[in-house]
Amino acid sequence: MSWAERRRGEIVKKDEENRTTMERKLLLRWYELTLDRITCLGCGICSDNCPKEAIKHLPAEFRGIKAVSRPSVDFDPEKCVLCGECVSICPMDALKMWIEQAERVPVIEMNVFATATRKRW
Amino acid sequence: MDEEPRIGIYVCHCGLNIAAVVDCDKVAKEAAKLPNVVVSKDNRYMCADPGQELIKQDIKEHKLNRVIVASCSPRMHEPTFRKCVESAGLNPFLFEMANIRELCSWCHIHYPEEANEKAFDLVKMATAKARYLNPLEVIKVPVTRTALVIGGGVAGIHAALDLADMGFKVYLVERSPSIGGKMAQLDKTFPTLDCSICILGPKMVDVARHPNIELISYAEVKHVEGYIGNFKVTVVKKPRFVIEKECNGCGECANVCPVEVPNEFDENLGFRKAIYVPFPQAVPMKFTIDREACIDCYKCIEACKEQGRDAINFDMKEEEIQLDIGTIIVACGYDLYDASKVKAYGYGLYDNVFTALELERMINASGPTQGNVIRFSDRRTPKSVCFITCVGSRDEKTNIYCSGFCCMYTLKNALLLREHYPNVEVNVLFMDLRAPFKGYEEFYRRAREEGILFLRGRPTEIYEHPKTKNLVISMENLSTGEPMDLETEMVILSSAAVPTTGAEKLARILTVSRDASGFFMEAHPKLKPIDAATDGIFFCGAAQGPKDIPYSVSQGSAAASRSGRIMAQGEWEIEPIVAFVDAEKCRNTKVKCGICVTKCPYGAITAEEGKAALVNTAKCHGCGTCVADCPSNAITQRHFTDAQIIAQIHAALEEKPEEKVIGFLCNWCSYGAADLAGTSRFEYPSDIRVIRVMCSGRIDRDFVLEAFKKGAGMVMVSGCRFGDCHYISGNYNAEKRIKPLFAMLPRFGISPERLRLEWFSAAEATFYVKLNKEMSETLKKLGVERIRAENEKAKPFLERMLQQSGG
Repeated sequence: MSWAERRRGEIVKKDEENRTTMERKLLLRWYELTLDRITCLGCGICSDNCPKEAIKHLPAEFRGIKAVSRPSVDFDPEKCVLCGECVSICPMDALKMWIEQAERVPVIEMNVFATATRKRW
Repeated sequence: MDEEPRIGIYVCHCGLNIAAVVDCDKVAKEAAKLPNVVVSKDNRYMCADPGQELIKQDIKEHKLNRVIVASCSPRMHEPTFRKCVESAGLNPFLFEMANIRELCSWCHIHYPEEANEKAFDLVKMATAKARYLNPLEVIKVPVTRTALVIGGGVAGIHAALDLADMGFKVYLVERSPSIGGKMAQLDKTFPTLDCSICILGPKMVDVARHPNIELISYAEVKHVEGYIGNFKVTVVKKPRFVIEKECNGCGECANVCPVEVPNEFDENLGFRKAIYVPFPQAVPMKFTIDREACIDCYKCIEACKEQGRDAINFDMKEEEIQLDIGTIIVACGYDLYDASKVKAYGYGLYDNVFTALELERMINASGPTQGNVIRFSDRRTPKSVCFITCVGSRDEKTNIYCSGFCCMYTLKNALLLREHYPNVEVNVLFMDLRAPFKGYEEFYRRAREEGILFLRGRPTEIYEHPKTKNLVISMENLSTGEPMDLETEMVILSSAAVPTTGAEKLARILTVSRDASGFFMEAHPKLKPIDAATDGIFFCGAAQGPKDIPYSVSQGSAAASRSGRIMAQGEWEIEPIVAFVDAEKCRNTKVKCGICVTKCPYGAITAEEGKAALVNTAKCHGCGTCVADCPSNAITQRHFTDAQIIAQIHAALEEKPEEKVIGFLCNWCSYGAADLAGTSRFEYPSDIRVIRVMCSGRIDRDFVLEAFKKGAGMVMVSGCRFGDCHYISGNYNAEKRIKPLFAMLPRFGISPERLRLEWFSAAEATFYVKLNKEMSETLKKLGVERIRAENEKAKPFLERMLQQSGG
């Protein structure tokens, strides 16, 4: 982690082998959003529905007719606001969100479905 | 004026400021021999009453119609003497000043002979100009009785309240959603430990309630044009997406908002919703939607409707507001130095290193931790805390200046910690502890009595213990001279104040200058600490330099009184040094010309087809750019006419011209730097003979050619740095005009290094000194003989060129 990149309240993205974590640490409130890359099928539903366009869908790569990589998604920590929309919509339950170590999804708690309202406008 | 000039010359001793170097008596006696001089005297203090009386008496007795005072800078006492001659019945514009203090005695202290010669030359130049002076009538412009205050911190709030109480209409423009500024973020204030928001809150409410104040929050100044008393200001109001009139601040919308983002007001330690007020006491108490964070779920609209209101409007657009303003007060405040730039202290890398403002939010009962000071790593109150001062100040690597109030807020924070947690060990690492104002030293004493340990030294590096996350500070203890390591559980960095983001842009919008550290620069450091160099604009608070609360408040009130003074009069006098067009000479009557129209930065000139160009006097700022660029020499700038400036050139080059430098300096930046070099007592070679013009845009190419024709050794043309011109674009035009000479001069046989085109700000006295030394070197290197030979060779060419341009 370089010096300039870590600012207070900023989301930090950590890529591990089978897991991607987005983490925001405030003094008394830690947020965590994880993607389990084994469970994730790379369908791209989260990418289509992210209200901040923070998720990029990476389709499978082919060499000839042979797939060399699975489809997957990638997060942009600059754009993400940790609303949990992707968690609520993931058909595979590959995304999970924690606030203060408790599994919580803000959009579900607030009974919000931003995708629907956004498409309407 | 047709009558024969009768000139009176007064050489001032200024105590010993001038007389210690220059033989004033001798200068006066020699000056008496100059043509048209009727009286020539020296006096100890011309600006004092007896000196002024002397001038008044002589005007009556000797029927003087021109007066010259050789003393300090015209930027200092010209107004004084103008008033003096006016009271004796003489037109104030028949007075001329020779600056023999800042430009001569103070900067040639060890070379009295050269200084004497220069002083006489400066007097001679002033006399030459004086012969061509004309009486002028001051122009009076109406003043709009409305003020604009930019920035709603504690300084801006006080300026606005004072002006409003005087009965003037005030627009207060604040960039963030709420007024209050940095003071609203503080927990307590030194040295009395009053609760900050408790004393500021009522003032903020007063602003909102005052019938004379219109608060425009979440808005920025986009454009300013016009002049004192008649500014036209464009303010852009950013969309809140909440209709201010409809919102009652109930907060139901924030309760249902699903998005949590770090709260800037809590220094990103706590969170707020995407629809928010920054803090509970915000003024105006209106919600704002942060569209960067908003996910457009429109839950807030529902919540607002449930309350029987319809305050939220996602279609809101940016709104431009036009204001007619008489005076402007700039109170845009400061930012804190970004501590992560000092890499050795590890802010941003180590969990338990905080800035002072972060501690301030933590210790505040309404802050993100409800008043508990805790470590990031384990949420535990630390057993020991170490404060480090001078982060981002008093260091050549960061900022050289002292940020002033950091020592005091460090003491305050240390004491507060001690009050909350009596068992915490508190250390303060300091370089020097500065506590100079009322009650401050007592406060320092109190801190020491409370058992806070003060260690002198600057930490070189901080390390984090990987397991305990404690911090090890390695430093040299300056009291013992020994290196030491200090382990502590939490480090608080006292960051310095730096100019706020956007200060640069604002300076450009207002065309006012900033000093070397980026703070706004006052017209005079002692006698006009509130005024900008541009009339009708004032600074207060930390916009002008780091300041604590009492100082900011007094400056806010001072700025209010300075601007109230202008607005109370209802009209304002403008110096009549404007341009005017000689209709008979103007080319536009015959062919389509209009060059002056394109050159004028203020749109003050109109040129209808077939008619002579016309200058709108009230709009003209008197830079003289159009004068220099007029192809048929049809435009004249009053008080800086071609005849006057050429007379100055001739007078300066009467004797030994090859050894002299003719320096054209603009009034605001270059002349300011020359004055500063004098007041700072920097010594430099005495070759330069300065001709002051209002703007480098006034400097005609003919002036340079004329100087070389008369045998000048060197010529320097100088002005403000690009982007800093007081007349917006004068220096760009000057560069366009003068630069081709570098290619032209060698063809006449003149070495191009004999012409200098330089840009520097009023703060760059050292640059001015360096420049003079370089020019003196160039003169010596070329030698008198070579210069004379070059000039002889070039003379016929120069004469032909000057004839062609009608110069």
